[in-house]
Amino acid sequence: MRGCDLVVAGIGGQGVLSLFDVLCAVADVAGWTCLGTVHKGGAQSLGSVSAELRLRPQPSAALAATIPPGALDVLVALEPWEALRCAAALGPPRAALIERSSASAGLAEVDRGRDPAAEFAAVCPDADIRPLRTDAAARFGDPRMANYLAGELALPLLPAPLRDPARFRRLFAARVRAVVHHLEELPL
Amino acid sequence: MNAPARGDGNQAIAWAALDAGIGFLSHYPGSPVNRVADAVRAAGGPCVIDDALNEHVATLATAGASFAGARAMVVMKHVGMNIAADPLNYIGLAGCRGGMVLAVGTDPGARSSTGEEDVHWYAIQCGLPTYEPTSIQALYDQIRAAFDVSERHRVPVLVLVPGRLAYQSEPVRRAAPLPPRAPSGFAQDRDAFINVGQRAVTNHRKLLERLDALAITADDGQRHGNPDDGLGLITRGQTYRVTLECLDRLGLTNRVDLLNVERVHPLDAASVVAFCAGKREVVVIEDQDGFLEHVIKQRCFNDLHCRIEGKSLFPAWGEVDHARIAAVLAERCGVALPATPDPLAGVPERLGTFCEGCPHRGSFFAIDRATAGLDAVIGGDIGCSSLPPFRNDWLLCMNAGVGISQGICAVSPDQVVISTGGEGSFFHGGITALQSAVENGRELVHVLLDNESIAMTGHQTSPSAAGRADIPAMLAAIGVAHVLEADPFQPSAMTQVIQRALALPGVKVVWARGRCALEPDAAAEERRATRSPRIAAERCGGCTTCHDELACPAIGEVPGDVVDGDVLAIDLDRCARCGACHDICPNGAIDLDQELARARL
Repeated sequence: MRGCDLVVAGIGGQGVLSLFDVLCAVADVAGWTCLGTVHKGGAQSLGSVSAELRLRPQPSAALAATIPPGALDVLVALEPWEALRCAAALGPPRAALIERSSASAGLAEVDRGRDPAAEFAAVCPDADIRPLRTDAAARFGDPRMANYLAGELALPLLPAPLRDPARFRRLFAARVRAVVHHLEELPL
Repeated sequence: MNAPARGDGNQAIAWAALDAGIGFLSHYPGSPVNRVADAVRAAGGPCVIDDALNEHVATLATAGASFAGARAMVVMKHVGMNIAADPLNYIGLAGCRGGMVLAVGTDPGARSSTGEEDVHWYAIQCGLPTYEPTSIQALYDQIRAAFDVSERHRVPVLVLVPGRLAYQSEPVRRAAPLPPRAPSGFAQDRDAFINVGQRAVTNHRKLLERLDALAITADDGQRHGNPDDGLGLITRGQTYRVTLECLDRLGLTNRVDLLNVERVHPLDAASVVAFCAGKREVVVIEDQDGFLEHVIKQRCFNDLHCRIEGKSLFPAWGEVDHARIAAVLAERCGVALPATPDPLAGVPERLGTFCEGCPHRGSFFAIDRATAGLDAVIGGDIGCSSLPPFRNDWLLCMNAGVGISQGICAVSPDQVVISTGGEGSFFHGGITALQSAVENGRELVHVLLDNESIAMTGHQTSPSAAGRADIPAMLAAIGVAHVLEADPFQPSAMTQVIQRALALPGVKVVWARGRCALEPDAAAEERRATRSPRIAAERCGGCTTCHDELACPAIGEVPGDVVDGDVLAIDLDRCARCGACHDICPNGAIDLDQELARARL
């Protein structure tokens, strides 16, 4: 079975690393190999954060912790500028799920008027671009659940053994204790 | 212990030290190894954890534990080795007793540092055996083994952990833990510990002899590919697995011969010479300054008969990545590179900003207002106070603010100079810098940004938290002429405090006390519970002071009506209720309490 090279991206405070941890756990529980790498700067929040996951059915010695250019399969981005940044570094992904609204923190004034979601759509026409924070607020009453929503929506993009939504929800609740109350009443 | 558990680099370092029976850990927090102490602390157990205030004392304390017979480890980031270099030059001369390991986080690419300096050269200068793991499992194995190497050869052992490795995550198989050994206590040994004159020269010779004894032991590096091929590749650290994958993707796995070096100092010269025998060319694939290429050429010069290249192919700056390695391999082997997508242009770098509710936002607003029209020089520190980077005039190293500023003040007394620095930097060495300014009679204003946390590296405890250290008393004791307290959440008043300080003689410290927004205290929690800030559109004059000058990320433009267009509004999901915007609004348009606002109407 073919593996999958996946990136989760966003800015600090959006739960990128929580989602990364959960997806690593999904792979571990399914018996897959997951080699992950987090990229973050010095800021405690509002800085660029991305995490690469290299998912394989079997271990491989010839597998670096970082994804080569042109090999990105799936991109899940909680912020569209960070989606563009990832595409700039690795090339357009095979599939993408992107937050529509941008966060301008830390960006120069000249860039704040641009529409990064539209720019990303130009390089990745099949990308699923949606208002994840707004949808999370509508569904859970908390926009900070956008990372859970993104992970749930991205499951069909992963290899079949990793797609179980009940397992994802269970592992997410175990990892992100602060939001477990949002998940308890959810029907599957 | 045999079932693998997923961990990252920080956890692997902690687990390895614990499983090696560590009795003492000291550290100064710094990315990417800022969470090792947390992981050791979380595991519990008898290991003494020392939260040192700088890398100099961290290294000395660790040496002390080693001299007393305990297995000890010190953790710091690469720039911290500059601070630790003084003791590091002498610990090997005295000789370790309990194994001593240095876990140093490096940052090729400077993702979370002010520089990507190459600290490999300290290995030669300080006589430190140095290892470079290629994976999380290798990191665990090497840290664990390093204690044995240290005790066998009586030298501290250095393990380098680049950010890309520290932030990796994969399952780790742990070995059965060793119990911490009972320290024997410090035993006098004048020949070892009194390094002066001829005795220092003798101890230097003995250190070099111990390193030579290690050098003839085999390195446990990996070898792949075709040993008969004329092209050899030598890697270290993170370039190993990237090179393996590049070879796989180019179909070259069985064509070239690859050697990965794990112990880069002292070099296992015999293995390298044997590898190079019969090769027409060897390419050393490494980032930074080319340390491995240098030591190979330096130690093996007379025994090598092939061309050795490295830094002529791979730059000394940034990280050496897939694209660069693949390009060199394709060129050397005469194969075509797979098509890669054209790079996108114009994706702006996100340079960092203060968090919502950060006290530094109000402090720098006040500094800007106090120095408006004065063409002032603002001296910068490092840490959270350096986000965003252009609020200061330099961003170099810890205490660069108070240090550089006093030199400018000395030779250019007519310039208005305000130095800044966090309280973490103050305890790291800034207090000494301030006392130096006092002793030398400088005219200096220093803004001490006290958020009660060593925040940028993960909120390690600051001595200023919970009032343990009496900063005003410390400043008065070293002769600071004036200590003026200010509240950064009231930037208007703080502006006046800074203006008053500028008019006073001598060394003045503006002590800006405001709790880190990510570590709220009871007062901050109370504000979050009782405040609902909003911008009253009917009173807003559209000056954008809150959005552009204060630049709070919680204040943004939202669609307004057809006539007035977009208006500014506070995102209550992000607002920390600090009140700084309410303070600086020139039109009184920002209400903190909706009940109060309704009462006003």
